[in-house]
Amino acid sequence: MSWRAQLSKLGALFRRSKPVDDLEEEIRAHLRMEEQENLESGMPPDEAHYAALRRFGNVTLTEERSREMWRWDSLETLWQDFQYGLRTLVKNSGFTAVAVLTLALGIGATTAIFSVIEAVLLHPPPYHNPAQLVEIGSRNPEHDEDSVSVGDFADWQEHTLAFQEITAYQNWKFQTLAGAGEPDEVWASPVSTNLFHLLGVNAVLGRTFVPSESQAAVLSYEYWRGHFSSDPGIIGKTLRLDGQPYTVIGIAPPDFEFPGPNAQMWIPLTFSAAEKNNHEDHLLQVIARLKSGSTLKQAQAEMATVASRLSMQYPKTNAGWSASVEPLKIQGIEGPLRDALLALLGAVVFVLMIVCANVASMLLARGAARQGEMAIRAALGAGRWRLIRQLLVESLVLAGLASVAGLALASLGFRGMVSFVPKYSLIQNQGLHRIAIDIPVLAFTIALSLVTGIVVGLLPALRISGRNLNEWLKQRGRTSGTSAHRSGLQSALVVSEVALALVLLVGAGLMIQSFERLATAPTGFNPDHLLTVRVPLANYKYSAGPQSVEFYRAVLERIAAVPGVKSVAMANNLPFTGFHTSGYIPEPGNSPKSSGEGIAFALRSVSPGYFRAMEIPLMAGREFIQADSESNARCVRIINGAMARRYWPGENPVGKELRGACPKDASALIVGVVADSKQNSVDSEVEPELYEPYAQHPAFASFLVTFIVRTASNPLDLASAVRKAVWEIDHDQAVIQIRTMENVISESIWRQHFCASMLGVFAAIALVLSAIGIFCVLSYSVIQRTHEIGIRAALGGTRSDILRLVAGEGLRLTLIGVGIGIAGALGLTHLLAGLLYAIRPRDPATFVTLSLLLTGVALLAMYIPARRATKVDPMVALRYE
Amino acid sequence: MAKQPSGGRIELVYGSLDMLILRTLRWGPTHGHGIAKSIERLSEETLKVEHGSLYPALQRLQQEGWISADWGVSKNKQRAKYYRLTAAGRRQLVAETSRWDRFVRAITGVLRPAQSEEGQ
Repeated sequence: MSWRAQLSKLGALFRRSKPVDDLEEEIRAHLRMEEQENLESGMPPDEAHYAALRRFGNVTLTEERSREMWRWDSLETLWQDFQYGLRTLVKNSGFTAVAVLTLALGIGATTAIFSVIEAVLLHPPPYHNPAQLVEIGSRNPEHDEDSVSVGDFADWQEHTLAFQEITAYQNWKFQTLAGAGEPDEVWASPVSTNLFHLLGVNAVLGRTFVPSESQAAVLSYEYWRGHFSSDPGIIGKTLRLDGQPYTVIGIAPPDFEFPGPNAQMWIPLTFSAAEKNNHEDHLLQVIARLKSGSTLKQAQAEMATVASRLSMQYPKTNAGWSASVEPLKIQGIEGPLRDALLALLGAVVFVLMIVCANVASMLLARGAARQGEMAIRAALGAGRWRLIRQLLVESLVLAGLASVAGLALASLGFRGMVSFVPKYSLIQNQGLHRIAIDIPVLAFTIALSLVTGIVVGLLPALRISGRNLNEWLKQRGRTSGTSAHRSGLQSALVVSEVALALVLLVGAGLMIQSFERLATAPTGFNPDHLLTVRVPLANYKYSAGPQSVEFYRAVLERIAAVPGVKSVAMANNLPFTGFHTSGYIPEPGNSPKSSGEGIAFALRSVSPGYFRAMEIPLMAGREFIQADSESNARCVRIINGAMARRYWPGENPVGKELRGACPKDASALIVGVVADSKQNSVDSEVEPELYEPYAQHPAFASFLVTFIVRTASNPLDLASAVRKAVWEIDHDQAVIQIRTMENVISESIWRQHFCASMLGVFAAIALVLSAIGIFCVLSYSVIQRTHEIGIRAALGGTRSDILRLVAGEGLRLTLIGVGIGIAGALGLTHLLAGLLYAIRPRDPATFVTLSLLLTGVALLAMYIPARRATKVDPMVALRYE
Repeated sequence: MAKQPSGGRIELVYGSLDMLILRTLRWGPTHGHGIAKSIERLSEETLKVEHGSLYPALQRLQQEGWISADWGVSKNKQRAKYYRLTAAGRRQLVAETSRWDRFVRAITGVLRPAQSEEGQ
């Protein structure tokens, strides 16, 4: 039918009076005219009337057909199919419940994983026309960075033509928020006042910055929600950041995460006149929006000119520096989490496939039972397509119900998944807080349930409708002849379920073992009974010299006096928190591997007593002592075993000098060697590490300063006493992230924990579903073969013969599935290699154990149908004919 | 579309009814009864049209936009619905007619030699 006809039908749906409403009258007029003519040709009145009717044909049918022309006929019969399907499903409520639940597991799991991926990987930032956005960096072959000096930025702002706007920001700025409740640390990102305008982002409440504003703050949506309970009254209130007042002027939209998801507020980035002439310190990140019409190439050319002019103008600071212009990179997600998510996506697709196989096989079995119904409908004139459609509508109804249940399961799953996300991650929470059933997720679920409905329904529908139904009517259900043929498809489904389940089991087994090994891997220190407390030094109050040293000393003293504290220490950086401070010195002259490249090492400023509190064994020399903190003390360092082995193999490094490790070019004296302990993560290699007394380098990464308290009892019991101890020294000091060292470690491996747990759940689902699949197929086959089993029993077959007959079939399918599964797992697990710790992707023990487990569960699933087979009464079975 | 052929009358080929209706309306607007009568008359009573079968076809043609309908009064002073050809309908008729001609030529071409062979 043409589009025009479709359109006028659509119109007719909404028009109140349809063109056919006067049809009756029209037909009556027609009949009267015909009658009139008949009368005129000399017929008697009665005959004239009937002849007209005869000539016209069936009036009702004509009316109906004419009306049908204006209807979406197919829509209406679809509605009938839907109602009929619903009735059938309600009648078989047991079957429906199992099928819906199974599908819901698959759809729910897939939705949950999709929503994570959508939240983390597919979330485009809300920037206006992002194609125009570029990053501009300063480049110098001798420096490994692309930050921009304030002087250069000010010059670019004045003298470039290719950009509509150009703006600067700073990534990192932790500040102390005091004056409102407990002092806290906030990540307030300083941005030029035009940043919001440049990105095309408006406040959801209040406003963003206006030019030349300085003491204003825009809060992130998440911070506003979490810390101020979404109170709109916050606008106009004043917050004190590092002692300075800032007025809250607006709330950013929920998806605005600039420069990263953890930014809690934005404050104006302003420069003094002196700073605007500073071309030396590279402090800024710069982004710009291209003018419409100017290209990236033009911008690059212009910036090259500008940079070379600047290097002539300021040869002392700008020589050798060029400028790079690149499209704005939307902050991506770190590699391992992405890999883990993709692995989970793969796993969930497997679960979904198992679910589909299971439900398809259930539908097949039920279809066989409905053979009679189908035959009768076919005999009454339903075409094959109509039968297929009916069956498909039923499976779509199942999938539709399942998607509702699946969404409920997924939202339960969210809660579980979010609980894995570290609470204290300093850098990024990876956007996982965004997980929600939003429009894309909903659309995905609907699409998924449609596809699932068709996938599970199509094969059985084709199979059932395609059978010779007349044959069936003649035989009246004597199906023994065709059962082998029929169960072929079902057997294939069971085999693939078992194979898929085994692949999932092996994957999950590997991940779980890997996680367990990770969680129990030695760290080099004793995390038991250890409380950690971050005290990011309020820099605005304490100068980097003696003042801060005095503050730390006083806090250490005060905490040591808290009852229940066995020992206390501090470090400017705790292992496993995602931060890594490192240093670089020339190589000691006698190093065997001298390459002239120098030594890169992990660097940690610690207080005396650090190694005792952490229980890191001292291998040689001494620990730091209080005397090292005196202002005139000798510059001393302690190194770890890895550094000792690398640069002084076979020698005692204690007493050696280390050039370049101290301020003012003094050389350091190595006073001790401690055992290796892990630095970045549990699964990383131990790097060479240099420890320095905190008093000798007090300004270094002071915002990360963390106190470590070894306690006699449960560490968290001392939390409030420790916090009070710090506040006794300074009531405005933020005391945050009070947690056990065990928590630090477990949060550092949350990704592996998350992945292992999710895979574990998926594998458990797969195991149960494949057991159900085997159970269903065997039960069905026992019913189909009642007659055969009866004959065997009558002919003297023993119980064990019959058991063997039934279980043999099940075992054969299981073993084929296990075989295929092993092959599949061997081929696939190497994809997990990057996520595994201390276990090989083809670990034989895992493969063997899980194959046995799956076979064992399959045997259990066979038990009930096999037993039922042995109870077949030969007499009843034979009479069944 | 007649159900049974009777007395030398020919059943209509499916779809040809549309063309006949359009053709009939070329001589001016008329009502359903008029269309039925003129088809019979013009085909010298060879084509049998069950009058009822006209109406679904008329609805279809309206949807396609080839004809339009208005109420009017017949010569016997009866209210009746008059159908008229639209511009689109006129174009459609030309297209259908030439397609029909080709169809007839093709069928005739196939049938004639067979008949003459039979004759020999």
